[in-house]
Amino acid sequence: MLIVIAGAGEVGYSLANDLSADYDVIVIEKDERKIDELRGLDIDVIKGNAANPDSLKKARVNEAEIFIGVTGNSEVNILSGILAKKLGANKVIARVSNPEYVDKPVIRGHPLGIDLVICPQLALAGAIANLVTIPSAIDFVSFSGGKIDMIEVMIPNDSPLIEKRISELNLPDNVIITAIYRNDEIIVPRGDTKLKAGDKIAVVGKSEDLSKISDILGKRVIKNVVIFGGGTVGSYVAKILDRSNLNLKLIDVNPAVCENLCKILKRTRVIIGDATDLDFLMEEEIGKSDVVIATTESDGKNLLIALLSKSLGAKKAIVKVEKGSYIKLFEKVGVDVALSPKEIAHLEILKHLKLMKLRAPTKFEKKEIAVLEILVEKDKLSGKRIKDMKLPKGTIIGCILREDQCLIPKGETEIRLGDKLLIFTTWDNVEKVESKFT
Amino acid sequence: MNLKLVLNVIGRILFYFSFLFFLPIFVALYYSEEIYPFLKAFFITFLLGLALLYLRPDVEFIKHREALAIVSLTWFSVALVSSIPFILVGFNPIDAFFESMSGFTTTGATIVDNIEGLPKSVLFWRSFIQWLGGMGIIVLFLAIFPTMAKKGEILFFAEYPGVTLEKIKPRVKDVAIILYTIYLIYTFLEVSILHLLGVPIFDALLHTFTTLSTGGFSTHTKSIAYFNNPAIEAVIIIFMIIGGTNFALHYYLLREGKSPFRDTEFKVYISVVAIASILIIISNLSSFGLYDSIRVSVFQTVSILTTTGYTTTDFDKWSDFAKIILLILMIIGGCSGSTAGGIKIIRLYILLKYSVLQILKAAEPRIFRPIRYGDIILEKKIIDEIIAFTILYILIFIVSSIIIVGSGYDILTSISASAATLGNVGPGMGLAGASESYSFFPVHIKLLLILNMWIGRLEIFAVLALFIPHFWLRKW
Repeated sequence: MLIVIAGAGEVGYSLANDLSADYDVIVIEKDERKIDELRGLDIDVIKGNAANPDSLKKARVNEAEIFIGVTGNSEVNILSGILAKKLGANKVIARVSNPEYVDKPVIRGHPLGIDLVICPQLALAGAIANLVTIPSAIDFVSFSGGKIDMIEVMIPNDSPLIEKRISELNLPDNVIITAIYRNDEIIVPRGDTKLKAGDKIAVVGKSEDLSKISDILGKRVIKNVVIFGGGTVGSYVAKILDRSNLNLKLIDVNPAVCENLCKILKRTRVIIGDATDLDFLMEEEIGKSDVVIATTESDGKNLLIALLSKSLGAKKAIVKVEKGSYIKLFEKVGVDVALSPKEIAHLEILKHLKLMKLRAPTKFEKKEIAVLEILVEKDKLSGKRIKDMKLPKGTIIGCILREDQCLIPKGETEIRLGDKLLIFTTWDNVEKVESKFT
Repeated sequence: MNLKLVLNVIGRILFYFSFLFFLPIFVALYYSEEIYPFLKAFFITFLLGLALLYLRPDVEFIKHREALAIVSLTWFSVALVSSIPFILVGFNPIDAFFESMSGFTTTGATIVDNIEGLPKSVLFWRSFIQWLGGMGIIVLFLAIFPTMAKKGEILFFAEYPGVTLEKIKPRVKDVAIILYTIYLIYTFLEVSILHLLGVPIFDALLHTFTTLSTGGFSTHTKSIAYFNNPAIEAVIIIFMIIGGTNFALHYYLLREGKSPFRDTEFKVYISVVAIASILIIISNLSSFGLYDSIRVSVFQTVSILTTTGYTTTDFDKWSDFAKIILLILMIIGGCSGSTAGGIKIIRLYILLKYSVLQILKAAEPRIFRPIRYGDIILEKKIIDEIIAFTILYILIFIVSSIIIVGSGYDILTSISASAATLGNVGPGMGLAGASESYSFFPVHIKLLLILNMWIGRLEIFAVLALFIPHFWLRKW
């Protein structure tokens, strides 16, 4: 099966890397240096502009199962997407960074003929907003096109849940704790497993149900939220949170940006100021914030803002990073959550490829766990009980999505055809797990 | 709102302020009068300051909000403690507070019917507080105590009247020292000249206190008419004009010899004095001879425009034409950055320019016309402030007038009392006229007028902010 990718930037490169293992991949790129970096990947490269029909023809787009437009230019992505579709590609995905072209993070079935339009900035903003509203949440992932969400929550030292058994937690129906990461180990939680301080737990469930767990997680109420940076991501987060009853402040250094935003945001206080001015931060009492969100254009500035704010007393710092490699670094030096729009784009695209056995390399505890979304299509598996599955050690079937219901798998639960399984396992076991279902 | 911090700073100010009571104590000793009123006042203030100092705030960082509250509440507290000696000498509390506030805000409206009957130490205190209030209390502290300079800029500009387009010096502490130095120089000058003209030292000093501060309290019930000396009147006119001039201009004049006539506001100021004087002179020709008319009209014009409030005749007896001009002068006020009150000349000048520009804009909408003051182009922010200030000023004036009329007084009394207190002028007209005192007003009107004086001196915003719940309550 052929996949054509336009653009070898961060996202293009990592997609090519991931997909080349199982599929034929051709990349269209016009920059020599980027082409150089592609050597070593098991792919074919066409030099050219993806919006040019010639380049597309050379890349055999007519045979392509999927075309993915992830150049740095939204317009090129859209153009090449439309062209690719016309020339015969089966499914077409385009990344659009300009929020003026889109109003949702993910658009399926765009009128132009593009099957999937992804705006990573908006997707990132949505992810941030989700993290804000649930205290102690440090990661957030969507599966199955948004039907099921997983939240990674850290149990703080003052949590009322400490020493409580899983069975004692009043989890809403269809919400499951699927895994606990404790002391560098992944534990399969059972009914009598007790939670400890510092545990990072993966909670899975339907989006509507997950929002209910914020009450259970503890009385740490989020009231004061400040967003630094009134750009695409910052303003979108503000728009989402503006409807809630949080005390929201949005800070930007540009008066024109502030003026525009204060017209759109009703409850948010729009403030002009330089985020790196300590006096200003003290004047605005940033130390009293529950959540600080840094979304300025500069990664370095965002880091500085996060650390400054935390040193003044802010409780949680969420930072936008453009460079994916900074994520681990930032989280190491004190940022609570670092999110990258490119990484989100990468994940979203992979998720939406909706192919069986496709790895959705969601990171639980950052690459310690792979979360697989597997559709049960093999007749042989139908009716098999979970306990008979003989899955490798450390593998958990976190949840079964069956006809819009999220089921807690027990040993006795039988798998049916059409079930979508959310399986947590370690990276080494991914192949073994996948082979069970092929 | 970090209330503890605000109270702590006020406590510090009161603590040091209390020592000023020793000045009238020395005067009392010199004239063999009772020192107890001032001694008790000292102790009360000292202990109050000490008590407030015990409130240790968790956060020492002064935000803008707190700076504003500090300025307005300092003025309130200082006026409050300064009324203690008056009470102890026999004034009733409201009257004492009225006189005290009238002193600090350099209004000069008095509730004392027989001024000469007051002890000399009380007269001293009454005039001295006008001298202090003229240049400012916060400014004084900034000049003397360097540690306050941390948020000094915000505090300074909350107290310092007028539209500030440029600073004399970058550091506010330096500006404060310069202002007080100039103030002292002129004080010394006026005392000397008055004394040379035959005024006893004590009288000269006290009148100097209230001339430069454009306050207007006199040691005589008949105000400056008591001296009946055109030379003295001329000297006082000059020093009133000095008091009503932007002190930055004094700085440039004394230090670099630059003429104040380079400044637009000053030119307008002098023009207003000239035009108003001429109009009033002409109007007064029906009751006075030419020479006398010039003498009283110029004096009164300058006295009212600079919001000093001295009188050499009972101007209440003048024609309605003269009186309406004086009323307008009360509202106009002196220059910004001076000790005078009122809306201030620069604001009205800028507003006038702004309005004329709108007329031109109606005719030629596409042309870009910035509003200039001299060489400086005025930002929208400054225009916004001026417009808001003027609107609020007029609003308060109207509300105040309505309340007084509603309490049974005639229009002239009500309007002039409102204008005279809001503009920190002093004498009004009608029942509140130049030959009367304010003693006859009922308590609630006196309180209203006290509020006017306070609001006027601090240029509205700092005081009115106190009355907005959001100012105190907003948590984050």
